[in-house]
Amino acid sequence: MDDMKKIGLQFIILVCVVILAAPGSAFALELVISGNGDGSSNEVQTSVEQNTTVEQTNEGSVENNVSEEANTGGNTADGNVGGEVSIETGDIQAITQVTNDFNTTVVDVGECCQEETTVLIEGNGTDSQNTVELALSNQTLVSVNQEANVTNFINGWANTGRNDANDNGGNVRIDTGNISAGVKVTNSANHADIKVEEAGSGSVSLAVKGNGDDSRNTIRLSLENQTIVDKHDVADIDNFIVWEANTGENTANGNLGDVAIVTGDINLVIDIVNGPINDEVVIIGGCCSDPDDPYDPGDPPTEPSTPPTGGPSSGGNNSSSGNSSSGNGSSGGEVLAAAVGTILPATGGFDFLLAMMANIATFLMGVYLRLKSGRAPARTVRR
Amino acid sequence: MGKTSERTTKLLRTTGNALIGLSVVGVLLTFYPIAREELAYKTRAFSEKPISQEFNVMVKSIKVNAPVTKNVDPWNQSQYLPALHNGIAHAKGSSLPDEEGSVYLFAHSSDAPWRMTSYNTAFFRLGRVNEGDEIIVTYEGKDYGYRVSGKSVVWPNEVEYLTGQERNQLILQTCTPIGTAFKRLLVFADPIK
Repeated sequence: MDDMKKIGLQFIILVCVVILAAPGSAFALELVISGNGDGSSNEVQTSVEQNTTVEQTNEGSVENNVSEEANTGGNTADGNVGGEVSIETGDIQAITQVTNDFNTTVVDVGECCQEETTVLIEGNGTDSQNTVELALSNQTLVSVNQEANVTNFINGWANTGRNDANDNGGNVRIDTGNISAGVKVTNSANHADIKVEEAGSGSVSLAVKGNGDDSRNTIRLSLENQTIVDKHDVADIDNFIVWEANTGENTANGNLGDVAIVTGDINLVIDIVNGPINDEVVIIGGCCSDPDDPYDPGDPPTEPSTPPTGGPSSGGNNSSSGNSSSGNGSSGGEVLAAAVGTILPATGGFDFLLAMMANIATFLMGVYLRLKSGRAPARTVRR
Repeated sequence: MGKTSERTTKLLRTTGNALIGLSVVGVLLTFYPIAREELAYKTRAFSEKPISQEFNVMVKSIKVNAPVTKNVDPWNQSQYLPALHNGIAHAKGSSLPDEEGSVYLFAHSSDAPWRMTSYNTAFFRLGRVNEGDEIIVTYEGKDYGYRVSGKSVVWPNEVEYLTGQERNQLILQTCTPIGTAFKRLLVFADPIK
């Protein structure tokens, strides 16, 4: 009877709890062999394999064509017999601002702070044989491919000149206006914010305790973790900017009176900013590290510059991409400021200062003359 | 020869005396508008009724009550100088009080002594406002209250205060030190909820 009981007990595996979460989510694994009788033989074999693959491909292509023309010149006043001839052309302010922002990928794979894996062999009888074989294999592959092609054609033409005042009988005056033009082009593409928490990165706890004499307790543990982040970016950005500004080329020939030609100023500012391009933030693991760690979960991931709008992905937890571009020929205060001199409005004058300096100079001159003339009139008379 | 020398000496003395007298009169004339403005500030009763219902700024703590000219190009001196003669200018491109963003207003702190009036140097005492002072902006018949949150003196090329529109706030600008255009004094005020 005792033998039968022993044999029966040998085939009994009393406790074995295996909890597995879906791939990519937090899971807890607990393997326990406990409370088995004397001489029993207990064995648990568990293998967990977890594969996560994220593939992201963004392709964006944009061509901007901006063309603007402004003309207050090209005026003619010829052959006037009497009186004065005056041509005054207006100022021109032209602002062009083009902003392209392309291809943003946000990948967030894996769970923070995965629960621990526990293996426990406890309280089994004498001469019992208890074996746990645990194999954990985790593989995460993130593949991101981004391609951005941007071409900007910007053409501008502004003219306040090319005025003609010929063969007039009186005086001739030509005043051409100022031209203030600004072009700002900002190209930004291929941003990636990749955060991968290594699968199976939770802790593993192994314990053998309180078993009977001569018991044989074995835990075989195999851990294999692999994380691969593969990122390829290509950005081809071409800017073609042609701007022509003219306040001159005025003619005043054959006039009988005086001729005055005053040409306006030209302020042309072209500002091209290419970047950030192919920038990336890749964080692998470290999610459960101490609070001082810069990659602590308390720190939010870098926000993409444009809201994600989806994209092809497979097998991953979260991934997204955003393609956007904006702006043709919009106005911008900063560009205008750069074009016209870049200072805040002058709300004070130097008149007060100049008046004071003039007063002081007058006073000093008076004192000088007074001293040079001698202190007392009588002294001069004696000479 | 002696007579000529005497005549020259007399001429020099007379001219010297005249120049000294002229400079004294000049100093008095130069400081008269400032003294008059200060005297008026100390003695004149302050009207809490907006000068303009269309667009007006009132700062009780420094007795400023002046009309505002809307949409004045802050980058074009030939446009904003005439507007400043009438009071305060609202920078074109910045927000209006009933819109989101920064409302940017600027006015003279000083002008030529012979041109100084109550309106064309509206921000003569702007440097004396303190944190917590109340500013009432009247726009199209409606009052908008702001409370001063800070002051800053910046260089003229720090245009980001004018071009930035990230915050809902009121910015008042004038030149400092008074009588110069070396730097800009900015007063920041947040809307009163």
